[in-house]
Amino acid sequence: MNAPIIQARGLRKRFGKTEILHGLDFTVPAGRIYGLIGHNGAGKTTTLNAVLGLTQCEGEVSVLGMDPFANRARLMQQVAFMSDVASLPRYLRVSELFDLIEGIHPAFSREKANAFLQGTDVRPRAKIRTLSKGMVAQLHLAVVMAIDARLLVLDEPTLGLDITYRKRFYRRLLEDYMTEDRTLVITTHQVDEIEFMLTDVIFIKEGRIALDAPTEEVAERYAQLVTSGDNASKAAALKPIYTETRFGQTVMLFDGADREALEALGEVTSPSLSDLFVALMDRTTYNAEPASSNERAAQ
Amino acid sequence: MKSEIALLKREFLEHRAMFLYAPAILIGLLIVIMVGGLLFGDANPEGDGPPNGETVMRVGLMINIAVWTGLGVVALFFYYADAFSADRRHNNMLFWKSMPQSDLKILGLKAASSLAVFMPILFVWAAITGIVIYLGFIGVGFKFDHHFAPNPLSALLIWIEAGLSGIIFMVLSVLWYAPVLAWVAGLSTVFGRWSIPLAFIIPGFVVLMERLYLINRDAEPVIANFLAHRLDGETGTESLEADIVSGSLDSIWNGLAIYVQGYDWIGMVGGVAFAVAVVYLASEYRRRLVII
Repeated sequence: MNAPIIQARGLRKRFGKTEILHGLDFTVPAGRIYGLIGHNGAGKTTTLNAVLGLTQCEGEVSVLGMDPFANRARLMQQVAFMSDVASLPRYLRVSELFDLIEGIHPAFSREKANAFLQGTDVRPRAKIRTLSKGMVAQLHLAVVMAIDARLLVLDEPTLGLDITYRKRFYRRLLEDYMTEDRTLVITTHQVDEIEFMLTDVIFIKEGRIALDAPTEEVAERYAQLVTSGDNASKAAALKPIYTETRFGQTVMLFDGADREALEALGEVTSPSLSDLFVALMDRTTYNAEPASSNERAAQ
Repeated sequence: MKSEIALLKREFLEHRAMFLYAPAILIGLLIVIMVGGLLFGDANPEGDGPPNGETVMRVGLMINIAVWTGLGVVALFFYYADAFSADRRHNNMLFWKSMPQSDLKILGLKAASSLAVFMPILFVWAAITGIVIYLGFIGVGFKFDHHFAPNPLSALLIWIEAGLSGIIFMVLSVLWYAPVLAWVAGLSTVFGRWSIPLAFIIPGFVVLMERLYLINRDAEPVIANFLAHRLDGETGTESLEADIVSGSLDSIWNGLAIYVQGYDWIGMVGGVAFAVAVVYLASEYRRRLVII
């Protein structure tokens, strides 16, 4: 069996007296596309920073067999990373950026980068500071995809981009970059947009892993029931993990429930990741909302 | 070497305005002033006949090198007041951290760029200024019929002599001021743009404390004297300055020899060691604590 690309055991991170990560355990095998999903402040970026060697944590982290914090520079020869903010040096022209990366990254291919820019409005002589946000994202994506890396880490790569850019971004990522030798870890709030491409999903809730499973297993394990009337009362007895009402119907999510029993009570489907996210990641906020009539109906 | 050259090149690209464009503007102004003086000036130099052209040329080029070196050190001070924290601007740090280059290498090359990139550029500007100065001497000669400028061959030899000795002078000057430059660079790693005031306030406070401690005590202020020695420019150059002013210096090499003999080599080595330590500590700070 191939060695895992990422392995974390008891990963903890504190900022002052506040613990952000509470001992995460997870393993990312090669050739998979992992979605790291959670609320703002859940610990996604801190987890990625630990994996990329950008911050020191308690516990054990191994990426491509290396301690990332001790070997960041060496690790980055095989890892490409794109953050949630535009981080390319703005004082350079596009061609100067490619010159620079060609000099400092042995796995970067200028030809590939130029090819990935085909079909965009990014000109080689353009100064990066004059490019629009979408064009900078396209340029950065071209840069990371032109790096022959074993692990690609994308932290909210489409944040703030319009739907056209986002669709094109993920299409190019899948069609032009992903192979069975490469592993992708991606974080985003826009779960619906990446659901189709994920092979595995990790939900992080307040610094703890709420779910870590292949998407196929998620589809088998969780069931969504749409029902109404007396059947809703009968279904509530089967202990759904989440209940809400939509347009007069009751929607319930079950973990590991008997599908045949559920089908007798209404329409059963596999929940989307965003439905599952809402169900599993529901939490108490500091400024709590007053109880809604259509939520937590079963409670 | 490929990555080192690429990183040095990016320092040039990021700071070309300060070291390429600004000197070009200065030289342009110099030419405008010189041409204006020749066209409209009427101050005919008086004296006991035309001066010794070679001596005037020699002294002129030495002053030229000294001025460009001084400007260079001041420009480097402002460069280092920003360079070690510049990668944090516009979230650039995330890009640099995604590249397979260590923080020590990146900061080490920023430290080396003073001698590897910026001073060589300023040296070229100094050499160009030397040519402008010579053309100015010829112009003065034509205007006032005082043809004191040396012939082109002699001028070329003096220019080369001044250039070679100027390289040594520039290198030694940067090495002498390396701890001062490293001090402001180290502060910028932690405090960003506050590094400039802090670079003066912290030693000023220490000197003040020393002065207060020494009130009513019969002792020399060690820290104040040390800092004054570092900032003073190093060496026993009084006799060299006297020779330059009196015009008795017959060779730039002799001037350089006087300069080098009076040089505080132990102080220079100690200063460079301090600078190396600061760069290492700054790189560890950046590696451990700076993400964005």
